[in-house]
Amino acid sequence: VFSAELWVHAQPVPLPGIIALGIAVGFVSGLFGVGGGFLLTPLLNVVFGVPLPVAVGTGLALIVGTSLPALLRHQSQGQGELRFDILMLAGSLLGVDAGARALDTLSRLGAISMAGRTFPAAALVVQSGYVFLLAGAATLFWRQRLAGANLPGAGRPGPLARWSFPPRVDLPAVQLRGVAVLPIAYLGFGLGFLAGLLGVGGGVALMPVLIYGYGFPLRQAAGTGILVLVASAALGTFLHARQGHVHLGLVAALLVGASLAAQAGVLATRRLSVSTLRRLFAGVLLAAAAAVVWHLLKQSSGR
Amino acid sequence: MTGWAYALLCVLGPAAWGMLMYLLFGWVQERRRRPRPRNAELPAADYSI
Repeated sequence: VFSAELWVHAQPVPLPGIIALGIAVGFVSGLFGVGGGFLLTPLLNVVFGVPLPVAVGTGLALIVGTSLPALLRHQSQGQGELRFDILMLAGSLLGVDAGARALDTLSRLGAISMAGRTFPAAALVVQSGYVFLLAGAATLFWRQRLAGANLPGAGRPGPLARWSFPPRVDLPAVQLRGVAVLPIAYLGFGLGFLAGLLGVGGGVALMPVLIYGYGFPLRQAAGTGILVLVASAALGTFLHARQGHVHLGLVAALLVGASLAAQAGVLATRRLSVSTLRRLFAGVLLAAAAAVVWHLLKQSSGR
Repeated sequence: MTGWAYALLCVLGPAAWGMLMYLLFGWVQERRRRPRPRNAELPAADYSI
């Protein structure tokens, strides 16, 4: 018998709502060229009550399904600096493992007292991370600095590209020479850690670093980091799935809607005024950040 | 802890779906972009106006 509910850790989750969430996140990612993981994972937890570790693991599995076609498409169009990805790769895989372990440790830690209130440790750390990501992304969208907006500094070597010490590497696809290798590897570790701990791809954090830190042209920046994203999401999914934190039914319901809606989002860019929508989306992101704060306070207990 | 098979399925399932979507939408885009062959049959003339 068909049921309109999915059972996630003995908790009913409405299937139509999950499909609608997948469609909304997919449409947004197609429209603005962002991954959308930074929006999906917190909403799974806050709106649908999916336990935090399951939301993180499920979000990562969804990223595997949505970022693989993006990687293949960018590679076939020759977009992205593959050397940058390869240098980030080892660091990112270590970071995913560290992030997944940190989440596991926080989940077992119990409660933390802060400012006279007691919070579940995992919720406090992870949801604070979501608030920072959502608010940061909202600022970038409001100031029109993501996905196709005016980028005054892009295309010139940025401060990180000029910070040169051995070992160095040349990045021919973006015409940068003698770039230090270690900051790139640590950047990979940071992105991997975000993926393992928060279940987000980290594209929202990486794009400003590539464009303003290194001076990547926008098209090359959009194609860089996706290999790392696929690899870290795949490893993160595997590690979380081993702990029972990936719900395949939830992944399937989200993935079908998200994949189809992403194509609709790409087509919609030709008909809609994306710059106006970007500001509207910034408002949605701020509302999502406020919802996460409210949810966190609801979970806490006072003096 | 769940089994290795389930964990692998959680990775390979979405990856296979992603691959399928890439091939499907790539094919659709290719069909849209491809010009009509020179000797293709022209659509029937419409004199209704």
